[in-house]
Amino acid sequence: MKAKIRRFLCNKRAITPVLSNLLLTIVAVAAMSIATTATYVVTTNLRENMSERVIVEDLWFNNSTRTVDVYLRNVGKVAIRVSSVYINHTKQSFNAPFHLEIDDHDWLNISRDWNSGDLYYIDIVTTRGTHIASYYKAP
Amino acid sequence: MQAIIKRLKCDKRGVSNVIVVMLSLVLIVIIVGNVILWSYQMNQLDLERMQEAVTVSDVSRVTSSPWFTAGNEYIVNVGTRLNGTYVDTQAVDSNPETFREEITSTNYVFNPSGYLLGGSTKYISGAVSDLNTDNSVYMVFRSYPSATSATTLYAHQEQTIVGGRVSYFLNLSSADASGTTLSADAQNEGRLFMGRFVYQLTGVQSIPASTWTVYYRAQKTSSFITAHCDIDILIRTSAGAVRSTIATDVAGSADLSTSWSTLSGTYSWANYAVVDQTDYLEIIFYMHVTAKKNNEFVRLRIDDNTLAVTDQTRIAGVILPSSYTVQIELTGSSNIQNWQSLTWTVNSAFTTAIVNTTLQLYNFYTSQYPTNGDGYIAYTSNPTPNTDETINQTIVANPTYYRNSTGAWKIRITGVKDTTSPFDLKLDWVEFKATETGIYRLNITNSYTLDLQIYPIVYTRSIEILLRYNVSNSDEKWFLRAYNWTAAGFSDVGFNSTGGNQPTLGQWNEYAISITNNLKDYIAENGTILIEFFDEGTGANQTLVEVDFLGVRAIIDGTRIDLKNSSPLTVRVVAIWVINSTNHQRYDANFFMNSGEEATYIRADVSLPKDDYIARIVTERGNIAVFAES
Repeated sequence: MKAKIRRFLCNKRAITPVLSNLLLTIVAVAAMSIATTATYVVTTNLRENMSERVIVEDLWFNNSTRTVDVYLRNVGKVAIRVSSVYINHTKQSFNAPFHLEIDDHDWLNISRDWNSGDLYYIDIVTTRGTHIASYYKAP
Repeated sequence: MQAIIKRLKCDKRGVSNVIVVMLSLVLIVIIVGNVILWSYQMNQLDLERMQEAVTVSDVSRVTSSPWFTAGNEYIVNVGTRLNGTYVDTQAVDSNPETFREEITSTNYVFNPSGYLLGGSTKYISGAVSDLNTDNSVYMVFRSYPSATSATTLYAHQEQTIVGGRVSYFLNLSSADASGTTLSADAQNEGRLFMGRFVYQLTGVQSIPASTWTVYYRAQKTSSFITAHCDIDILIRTSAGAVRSTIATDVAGSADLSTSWSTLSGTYSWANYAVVDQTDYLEIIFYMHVTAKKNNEFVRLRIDDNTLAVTDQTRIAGVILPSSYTVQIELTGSSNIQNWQSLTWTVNSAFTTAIVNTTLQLYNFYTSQYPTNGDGYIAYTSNPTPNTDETINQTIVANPTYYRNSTGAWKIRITGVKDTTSPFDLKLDWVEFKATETGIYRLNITNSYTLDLQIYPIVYTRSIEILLRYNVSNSDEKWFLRAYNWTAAGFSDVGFNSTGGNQPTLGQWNEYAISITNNLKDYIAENGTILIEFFDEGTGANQTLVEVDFLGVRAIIDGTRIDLKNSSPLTVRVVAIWVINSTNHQRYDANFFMNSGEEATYIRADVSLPKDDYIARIVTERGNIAVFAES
């Protein structure tokens, strides 16, 4: 029995194929995991980007607060978060964080004074890059 | 082929390449498939949104709901349904349902609403409302002493504790025991205490002036002793304090003899007004020794029923109540209908037995309480105390004599008993019931169900009830009432008018009233309103009543939106906006329209501004339809 064990330990040609196969398996599994994760991430991002739909139910040039209040409704298939608001391409502050779940709706209050009769290009950008933009004329 | 397969099997790099390519293809398929699938779904969403076409054709103010009419046949409580059905009352079309009055007897039941105490009767407990039902919930009154007489207080051997002091009783009854001898050693001269005797002054308002004679059953054991009896008199509170010292060392007797003898002394009692009826009259008996003798005694004998009453130790000539009276006058209201009979009932009990009781119903025609006949009942109460007795009398001759011009009535209850202690009158139920016969009546009811989904109570300003009817006699008014679910009865409290409607003969009469207050009391949770239609109850002629229309509606300040869905899709409206120069108001909505449908959406909670406004509806898919009013 001792002789057999000694012969096995001394036979280096037997160990090499085992190690190589084991390494190959590990590398293959790792590569597939990375590929699968990347696939999931890529498809999830793509899917969420495609699923964002937000409408403006109402836009109110509020004379009492001198703000521009936008009532947004999330009609898409994913929750949204507003990252930036631009009026006439100038970034504005708003009641951040502003987050809407699916079918949720609420006022987005933009702290920007306005002048009656002026035209404003209001662009609301979500964290995924969706723009909800249009021209509005102050009453 | 075999060669190719063999070569492939031997070429391990070829297998690996195939596997890698296959896996890559799988990943690419997953990525592309996922993206395409989601893209398809979102495109579908966008397509549907583009296809959706909703227009608002009109937005207007709504001030009332449609009429809600009877959904079932009328319940005829009094009267008869002649012809027609409830369907005939659903529209104003001069095609009525007809009812007829029938002759009835009507009972009007009244209970007291107030009371007056007679004499010195004292109110103890209870409320007048306790007299409405025979339920052993009483209104209690206490009698007062109405007559007095000279009485004798006998010294008894039974004891009580008054303010920590042991005292014997003074009772109105004579000795009832084998007797006790109170002794004192005559070794010292002076007043020797023999015993303290008390009588509680419950029900006694005063002890009038009189001459008391105090009798002493006494003896001395030696002829060397010289002694006589006398007393102290005081009023002691139940706590033991002396409220008033009346007299000291009075009612002295003649000298004692060595044999038992009954001696006496007198005292001139002045009037005493009792301060508190829990107080005690206290008599302290003394032996006043003026010549002493060691180991010899003076004695007082009490509560010995072997002695003749005239020989017993006692105090005679004390004037105490001998009769008590309770008197109460109950007042109430009724109506001024033409009664044919009147039954008045008193259910009461006394805390003592056999009270001479008189019940009297005031006769406003003769302006006095009767002393016999109608309106007068005299009886002796039950021998068992606290036994409820129901006494009533029915008056058929001139029952209206027993009310005044406004319908007020009054009953006097008097209880008298010759007794030395007060008692209570316990009134349980008093009823004044008038009966009117020979009157033609009609009373019908039905239920009407408001659509609370569209017209919630909270946005309903009032409920309007409209009746269109015709009568064959116009000699009485007609009334509408609604069922008050809280009070569990028909009522017109909270109505804008409660005076009824006087119809005009030979034409359709419209009678409209509104429930303006307490709406929630009149509308059940499911929107049901019960309406009662009835006559005044004064008609001596039989009347036919034709009901052409009877309905209810909610008065609101709401909004009506006329919508049209021109798209091939079902549309759900999720929001309504009403916008004017000063406010942008959003209302949540949940309204569905089928494809091609024209629909009217009524909102009782949406009030339109009086100035220019824009109304906007938002669909679930994100489309917006606008209506501008200027």
